[in-house]
Amino acid sequence: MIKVGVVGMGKMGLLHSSILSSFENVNYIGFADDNKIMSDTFKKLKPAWIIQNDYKNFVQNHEMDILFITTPISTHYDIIKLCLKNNLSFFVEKPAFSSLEQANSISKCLDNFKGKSMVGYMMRFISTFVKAKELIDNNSLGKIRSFEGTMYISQLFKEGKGWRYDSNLSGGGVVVHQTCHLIDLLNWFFGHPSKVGAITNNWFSSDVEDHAHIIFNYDNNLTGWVDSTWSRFNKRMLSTRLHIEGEYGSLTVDDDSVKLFLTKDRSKNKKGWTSFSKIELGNGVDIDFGAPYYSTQNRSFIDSILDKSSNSNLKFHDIQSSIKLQSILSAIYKSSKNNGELINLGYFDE
Amino acid sequence: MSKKPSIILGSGQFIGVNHLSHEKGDKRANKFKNIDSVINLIGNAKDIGYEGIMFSTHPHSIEILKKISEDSNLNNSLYIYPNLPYIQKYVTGANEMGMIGFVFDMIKKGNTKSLLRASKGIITKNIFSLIKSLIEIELNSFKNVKMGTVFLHNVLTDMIVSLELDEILHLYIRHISETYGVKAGFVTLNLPKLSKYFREQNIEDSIVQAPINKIGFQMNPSLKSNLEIINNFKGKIIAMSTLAAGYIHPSDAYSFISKLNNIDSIIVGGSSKAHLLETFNLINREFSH
Repeated sequence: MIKVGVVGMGKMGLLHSSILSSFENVNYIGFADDNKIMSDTFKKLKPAWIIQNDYKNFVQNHEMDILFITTPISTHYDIIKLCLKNNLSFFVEKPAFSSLEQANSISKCLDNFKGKSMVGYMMRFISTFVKAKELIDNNSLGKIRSFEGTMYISQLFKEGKGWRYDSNLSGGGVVVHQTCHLIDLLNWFFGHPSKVGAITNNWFSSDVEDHAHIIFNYDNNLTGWVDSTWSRFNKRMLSTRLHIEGEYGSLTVDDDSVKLFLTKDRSKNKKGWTSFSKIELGNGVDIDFGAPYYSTQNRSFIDSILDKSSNSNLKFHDIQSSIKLQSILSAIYKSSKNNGELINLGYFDE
Repeated sequence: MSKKPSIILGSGQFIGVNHLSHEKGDKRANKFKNIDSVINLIGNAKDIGYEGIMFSTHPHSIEILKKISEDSNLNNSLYIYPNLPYIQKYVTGANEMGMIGFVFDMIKKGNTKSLLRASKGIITKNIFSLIKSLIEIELNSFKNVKMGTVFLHNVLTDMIVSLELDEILHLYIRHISETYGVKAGFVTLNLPKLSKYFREQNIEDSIVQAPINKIGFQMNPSLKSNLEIINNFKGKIIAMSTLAAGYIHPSDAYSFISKLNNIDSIIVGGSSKAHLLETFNLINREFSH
């Protein structure tokens, strides 16, 4: 039985608590949250849970195998450091850091860390993107030449309130809250870019960007772009789409399907068009809460702690992956300040 | 042969819900941005024999409800089933102003009575007063229509089930019954878990809406475990996602469902009179075999 606690009982804390509570091999012990309304409410509703306002007391005084960190981004750094110090495996919601300095500082503490880590880049668990990864890895498209990605939602059409819209607390706007998911998929599919350039726009927010157009260059001549905003009309749900052009055809993947076009038979796929719907690709999950991929993500991490899944570490985004991702996010903001100049990432890479 | 179920029109097509394709959903929502097109379709559904319509509290649904309430012909004939709340509004609102900030913002937009009750709830840290206020605010749009069972959105239902929030579960059932004179219903994507929890809570006459289709789409953790529960369920089951978002042919879908026990109603989508009629006749035919 894996003992799990949560820090931060906001929207994502409730989501993970609900999923984890329903896993048969998890003992959900409770949470820490400095919001008195939340903690007092749950003290009444769930008297058996451990509920504390101070996360340090919660972690240091109670036995647990994993801590789920679902607090605002600016608080992640101190909580991650506490986990590293206590060799406590942790899951942290994305993005893990609010600055490159934080990422580099954590990087220096990882050598002695004996626990496991996962960062909540849950799009790696969406069945269509998993299928796209399989088709790229089995070389169906041959050498990849270019890609175009978009990520849109109708969310913000006036100045936002709260920590998400304060760059000092969150590290940025749509790029760190939304686009980072697509950048993570690109890293997963193609490896790390050598250069990035970006133009960002503040349409409604005064302190953070509402839109970003980002160019990616890779050492193997692959090039691509991503366009992303949270202020797009007629996008009720977050809509992510990636089109990839390769030597032997193209692939378009979104939240609902994968469409493959091949100029010749490749791997197990025939020449011409082949489509894969999420309905064909999906399976039942332990509990569908929010979306099935949150459950798959949490299951994957729990199984890796139980050593039940031999290759789960290859699949999910751990804290080391986030250190690299942070270098890309930092370069995007640097480029934006320099009118879209391409920033060389070589010196960021290991 | 199972008892012929009542047929309820879903409203997802009016606001762009399509579980197979975001793009198709957005296109369909554009078609129904004209409220007269929506009211026409609802009138068609009533004439064909649909028993009612399910509505969330999406802003467009609220406009539609207002129109229905002004049309005595529609309003007296159709049951309106609320599905509380339009959860995307809460997700987006929580992203914009934090979860607690959003709840306070919702309460500020309510009427004086709900505001007073909520203020008292905040001062006394009484979550139950806050929940009652939110229900009142959400159901305000339904006060002038013939309201049927009030369903709780699957995210909230499944949170109550997985966290075993016993007091909130019973409060919801009691409050809906005592205040609005109708039954409380629940939407879930995790029927076996819900069924087990409700049994532990001695709730046997529940009304539960869940995905039911032959390929197991949205039926967690598995098709098999769901079917075992459905066939032995003590309460009423309302089938949704019966076509698996259009993946299954309607005749196959309803033939499959007609062989199950305990299906009280079926929720269907439809974007034209012909489509609504075809679905209605097909369900009746499959359940007459």
